[in-house]
Amino acid sequence: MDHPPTINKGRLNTPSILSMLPYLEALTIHSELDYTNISAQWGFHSAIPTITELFSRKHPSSLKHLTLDFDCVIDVNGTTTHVLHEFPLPLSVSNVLCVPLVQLLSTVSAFSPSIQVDLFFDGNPLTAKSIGPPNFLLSAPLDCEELLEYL
Amino acid sequence: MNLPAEILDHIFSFLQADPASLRACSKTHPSLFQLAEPYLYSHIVIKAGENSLSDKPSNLAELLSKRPHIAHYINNLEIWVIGRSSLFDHHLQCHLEELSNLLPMLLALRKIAFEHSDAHFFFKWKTQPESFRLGFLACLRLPSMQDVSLTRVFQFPFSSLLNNECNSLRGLTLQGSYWTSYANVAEDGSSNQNGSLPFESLCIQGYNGEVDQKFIDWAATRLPRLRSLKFSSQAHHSLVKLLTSCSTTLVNLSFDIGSGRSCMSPLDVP
Repeated sequence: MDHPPTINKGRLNTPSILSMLPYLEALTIHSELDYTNISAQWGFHSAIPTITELFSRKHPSSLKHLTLDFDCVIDVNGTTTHVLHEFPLPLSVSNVLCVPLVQLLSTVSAFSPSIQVDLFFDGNPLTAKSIGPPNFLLSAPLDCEELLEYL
Repeated sequence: MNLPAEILDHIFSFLQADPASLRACSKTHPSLFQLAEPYLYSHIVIKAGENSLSDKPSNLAELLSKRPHIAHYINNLEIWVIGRSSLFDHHLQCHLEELSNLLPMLLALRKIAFEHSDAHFFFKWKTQPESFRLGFLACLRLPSMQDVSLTRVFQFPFSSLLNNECNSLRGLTLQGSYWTSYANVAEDGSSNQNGSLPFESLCIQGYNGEVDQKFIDWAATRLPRLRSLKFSSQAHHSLVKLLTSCSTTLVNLSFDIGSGRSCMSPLDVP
């Protein structure tokens, strides 16, 4: 390239976003639910607690519509088989997914009861490095009554 | 046919999203064809770069030579560069030159997109036929033009977007496209280099998750009236910079927070 671009990577200070946008009406957050290897430790990585933090401070807001769009990514390099039939951690899907989601939606509801929330689990298309979300991951939220109360 | 033309026209406007149904309806009666025709040709996709393509520029040229009035129906033009195997592709150059003859006829364009995601190389704007480059930039200056989208284009002269000639543009989409050098901005000698631009919508998708900081710096100072921002990158510092610049106008925000790397390991069992 004639003039290589300056690359900027930063960390989002999520709690400040809503307070700095007084007229925001619609917010869409895309995120990954990611089972992968970071620093030689396999784990389930989720931004749900970070998103919850976004709504943890109450302040005047015009927000009416929140869309949460999660991609579920499982790194096949970390699995012994390409088809997973159960959660690959000694944690339950409820612990890593449903409980944090209920906490998130509860926090959003406390932030403003009138916010409409749409929740999407899209999954990832099949690639060399990842496979789509297994059914046990996608079906878990549907079986969580406490979660469905907020949707 | 008992329904008034205005009602039928309204119905056809909804069928734009379903071209097969629209085409089927248009074939049922000559009067319906007349009413459906503007919607049938409202959105055109041209594919350049491979000779076997069905949607190559010569197909549009043939259509417009037979029925020139269709040019006035074309509101949305997408140009896809397909299957390039090298930086200097003969078919691509020929197709773009053909297209440069057609662009001046499309005076009703409201939206134009240049899509280069289906290739291994960045599309180097400067190496393309001059007639095409000038034709494309002329389209951006049309009074009707509202929205421009560029995917994986390198060396695009954004300076043409900066001057007063393109002040009807309201939406800008950049996907994996990099800013050209500041030197090119100065070359234009635009009189509006320091003013704000009336863009209302900005969509940025980074390349491999990265965004060009030069573009972010420009957008943060020149696009203070954004109502809609879609930011698909995890360069969150850049997102905050943009949000700061348009905080009093933004009503619609979409961004990517990644996986957060907030890890639950076996040790976290509650």
